[in-house]
Amino acid sequence: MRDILEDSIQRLLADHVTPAMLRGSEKGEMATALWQLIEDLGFPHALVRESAGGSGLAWSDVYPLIMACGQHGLPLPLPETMLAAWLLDQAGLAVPSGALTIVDTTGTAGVHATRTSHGWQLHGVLPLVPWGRYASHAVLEVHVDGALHLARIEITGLPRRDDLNLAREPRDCIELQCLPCVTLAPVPHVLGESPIRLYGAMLRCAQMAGAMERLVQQSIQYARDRIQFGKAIGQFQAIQQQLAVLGCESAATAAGAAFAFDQAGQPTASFAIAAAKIRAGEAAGKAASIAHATHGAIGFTYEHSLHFMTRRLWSWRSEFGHHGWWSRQIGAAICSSGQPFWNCVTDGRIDLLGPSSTTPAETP
Amino acid sequence: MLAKSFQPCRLPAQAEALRQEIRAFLEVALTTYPRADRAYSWMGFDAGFTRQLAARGWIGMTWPKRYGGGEQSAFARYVLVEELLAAGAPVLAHWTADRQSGPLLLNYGSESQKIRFLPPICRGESYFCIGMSEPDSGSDLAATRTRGTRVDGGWRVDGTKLWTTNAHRCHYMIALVRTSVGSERQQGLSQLIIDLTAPGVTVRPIMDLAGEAHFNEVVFDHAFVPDDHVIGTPGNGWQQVMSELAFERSGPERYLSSVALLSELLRIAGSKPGPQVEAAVGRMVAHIVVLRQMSLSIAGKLESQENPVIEAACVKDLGTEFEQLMPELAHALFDLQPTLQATGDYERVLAYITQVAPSFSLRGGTREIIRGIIARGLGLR
Repeated sequence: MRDILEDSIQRLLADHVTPAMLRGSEKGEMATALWQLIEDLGFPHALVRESAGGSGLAWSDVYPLIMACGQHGLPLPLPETMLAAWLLDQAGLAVPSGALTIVDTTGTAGVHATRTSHGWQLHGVLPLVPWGRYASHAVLEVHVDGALHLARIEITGLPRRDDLNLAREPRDCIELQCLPCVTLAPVPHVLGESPIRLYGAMLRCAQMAGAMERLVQQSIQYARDRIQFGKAIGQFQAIQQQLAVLGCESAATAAGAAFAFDQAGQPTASFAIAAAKIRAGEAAGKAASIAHATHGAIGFTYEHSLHFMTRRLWSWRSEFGHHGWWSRQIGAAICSSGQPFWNCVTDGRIDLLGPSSTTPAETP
Repeated sequence: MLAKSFQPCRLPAQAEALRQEIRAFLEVALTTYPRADRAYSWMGFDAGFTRQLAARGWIGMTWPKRYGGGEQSAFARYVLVEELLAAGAPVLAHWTADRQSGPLLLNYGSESQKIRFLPPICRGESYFCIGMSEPDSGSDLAATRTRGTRVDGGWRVDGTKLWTTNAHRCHYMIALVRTSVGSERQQGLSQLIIDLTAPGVTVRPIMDLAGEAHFNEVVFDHAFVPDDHVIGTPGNGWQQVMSELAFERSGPERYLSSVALLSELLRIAGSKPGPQVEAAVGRMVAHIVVLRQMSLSIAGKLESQENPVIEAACVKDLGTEFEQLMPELAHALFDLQPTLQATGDYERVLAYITQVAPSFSLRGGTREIIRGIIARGLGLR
């Protein structure tokens, strides 16, 4: 199953996600035809239970798919839609068709729900919503009567302040003012205290693994092709040693991400995802730096395609918690656990993302 | 590509069950082992502890029962090794024999060699060391000059092995020796089991920069090695050594050498040490979690008879880099100075790890050699 899925997404993205498409997307053109193909193949609802009309796949099954999205720099919210659909389905809420997104409100004032005679009203600011301008609905976390709930809201047409991450992927701020008629459901306990930040981080780990894999391939190819001092620069030990480091960083990122996807949905997920995001975040800067050093000036031009990956790495590493933030989460949990750290490592369980972590301004 | 080479590998339930048994044993066996000494990691020597492990069947535990082994899975041994290292247990006495020499003999040794040498290893009575490096042969192993000259009934060995860990306490060395006159580079090398108590063998401990004597110079002057001490086919030494090194590069020992430092750091950090210490601890633990998964993934491949040479090199490079990062991170956390007579275990462990850290990326293949292997795997050489 995994292999078939991987083959089909790889073929689809290799055929369609061209540098021209990426440049178009950066100018604000949504790749609607490709999105249609992706929907026709059923990828957006791959993680939704079969009884609810999805494919019922596990996160570990779709790891190669999310990784491929990173590897090709897919300029569409497929990972976000898959996560939004999975969360809605886990919470027993209906999954709309079309592009969806998720909102990470960790560290912000968040969204508040007030009860009205007709149901609920939401107030607050949704910060840096991935692909907010293209998604019809968003999934976000709201506390109702002290309990964490997931809310599904329609965001088309809401007041928006458009922004872009370094890779010029839409990251839009959306304002909610007394937004009525929302659909709410309690978050299943196993998803933890802050599932959007957690599983959003997991998505970015796989995407970063894909992007780094691409950097390895591109850099090796360039090192073989580029002749200086009468030979391919890949013949020089200085370059070989650097590319070996790039390969190792890419491998560590992929190993961490694969492990995180393997643990997804279980009580061990938060520790695995946190570790993977820290490792990926550390690797991202090193990997981008080595790839650029290898490519020289040509890799610094907009014309060359290298930056599609390096700018994504520089963005994704800070989304859904940068590695310093996640390090503090693990560190605080280990220190306060009262257990030898090694037991935590082998059990794979520590209490991350407690209620206190949603309070703002706590990173050093 | 490497990115797809590290699939998650879950330890079987049986191996996890063994973990509890090992912890209960270590709780008792290490009660009086000083905390500061646990920083020695697999450089800690205690013959009594080795015998206790042997009594439990925890040396050669994967080997066939007819040679004294326990016929347990490689995952059971993996759990044993990571628990021993995480606890800082003194495993050096049997370490090389259990990890490398035994598996080498199982792969290439004759039946009579297996019957003779393996059971005493399993009983914790026979220690081995590895004779590879020489004064003029470090990273360039093919420059080996120690020579074996054909004599009646065996070989006369002359030359010098250098940096041989633990040789001063070992019974045998498995040495890489040039046994063909005039042979060059990778050709004409053989692996010989040398009795370190035999006439013509001199072992001189070398003091390292931390003032300890873990490694040695071993001089052979007309030392006689009988024919039945040659491992495998004479002249096939290079191939045998290369396959041996694969065992050496991906185990938990490749990222846990500095782990005592984290244990002691946490002890003085307390339950709420603040942002800086928490972030450093989280970073260290995240590296450990990911390296452990990479190492486990390779263990899974070795179990299914694959030969993950490049992946193993990757784990060694990342693992040693991390082991060396630990003291660097720790130095900047507390206003405490590492001193040799410190009353605090943390300061003493930091003092020791800081001094020995350079060796982490020298032993088992230097960083540059390892990265060369990875570059070759990436198709650059």
